[in-house]
Amino acid sequence: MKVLVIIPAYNEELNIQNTVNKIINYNKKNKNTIDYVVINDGSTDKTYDICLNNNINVINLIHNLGIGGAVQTGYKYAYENNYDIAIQFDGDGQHDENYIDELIKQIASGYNFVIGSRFVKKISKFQSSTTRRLGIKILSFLIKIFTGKKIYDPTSGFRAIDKAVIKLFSKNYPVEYPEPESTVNLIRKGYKIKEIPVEMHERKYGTSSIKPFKSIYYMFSVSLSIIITSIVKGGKDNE
Amino acid sequence: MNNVLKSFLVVLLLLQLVLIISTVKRKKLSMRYACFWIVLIIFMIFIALFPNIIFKLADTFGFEASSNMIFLLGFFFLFYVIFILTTSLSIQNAKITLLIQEVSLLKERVNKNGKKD
Repeated sequence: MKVLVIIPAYNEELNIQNTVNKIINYNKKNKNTIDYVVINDGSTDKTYDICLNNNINVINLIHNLGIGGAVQTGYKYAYENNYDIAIQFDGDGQHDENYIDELIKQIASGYNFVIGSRFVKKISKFQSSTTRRLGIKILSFLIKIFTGKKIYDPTSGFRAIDKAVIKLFSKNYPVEYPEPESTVNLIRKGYKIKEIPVEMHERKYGTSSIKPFKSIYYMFSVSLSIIITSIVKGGKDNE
Repeated sequence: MNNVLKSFLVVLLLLQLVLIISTVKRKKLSMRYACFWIVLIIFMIFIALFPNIIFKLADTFGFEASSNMIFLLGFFFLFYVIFILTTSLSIQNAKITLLIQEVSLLKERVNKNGKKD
């Protein structure tokens, strides 16, 4: 099976080489080789130069799109190049390559969408801040109410999708609140979804893109988008 | 309404009309939207010349003052216009996102092919 790891990166000059090395290490340890592509989301630092100088496979977005638009570019690339599995793997070093195998296994066993979650079993020491955890709990609760399915970590950016979902996402992906909204959308459409426990690490360098003063508006907006996505049937999905 | 006020309003509206038409001529406003504004201005000129229509309408619908009706209608109208603006803004955003993605993917493919040669 052809596997593509999509690494969205915005101003990650300090982390990007390490993240790519994780994939290279994974390939060394395992017999199967997986491809990767870095999506440079219009970084204003040296992220793109570092990629070019180190022969990292990179797509340079000509303008900043935000995480959703960047990841969707990766899905488009996966679709065009006929990949069977696409895995989102953040460029900030939070995700652990040792769990990629498990994601692939679950997809191979028939799941359409597999989420690497910090909260299924608490094997991850790094659990992020209390407020962020509270936010995630609220979103998780909302998804449970409106779709009937328990998703412990709907904001996780460590996720794998199969060929059918690659096709869907390459055409239609929520770019504003990508993780929770796409999860709800897939549940509603009846795709097979599984959450597996993974370990996550604190980012090594730089700051997260989530700003505190924006987070109340974010929570409100995401909650609404979860509700609307789960109750509105049909809509313009182009398929 | 005395004739001085009437003619002042009409002149103001005619100036608006000139402004709209010249903006279209300079290609800074598409005809599709210009039409909408032009119809609105013509409607307002009509009201300025025959304000009795408004007085009668306000009276029939039970407004205490006709200006209240104008403000209410104006408010709803502007609300609607701004709503339409945000929807078209969202559509523009989606189109720009698509363009950025496709151009970036294309550039990448061209660059890679260039390296092979």
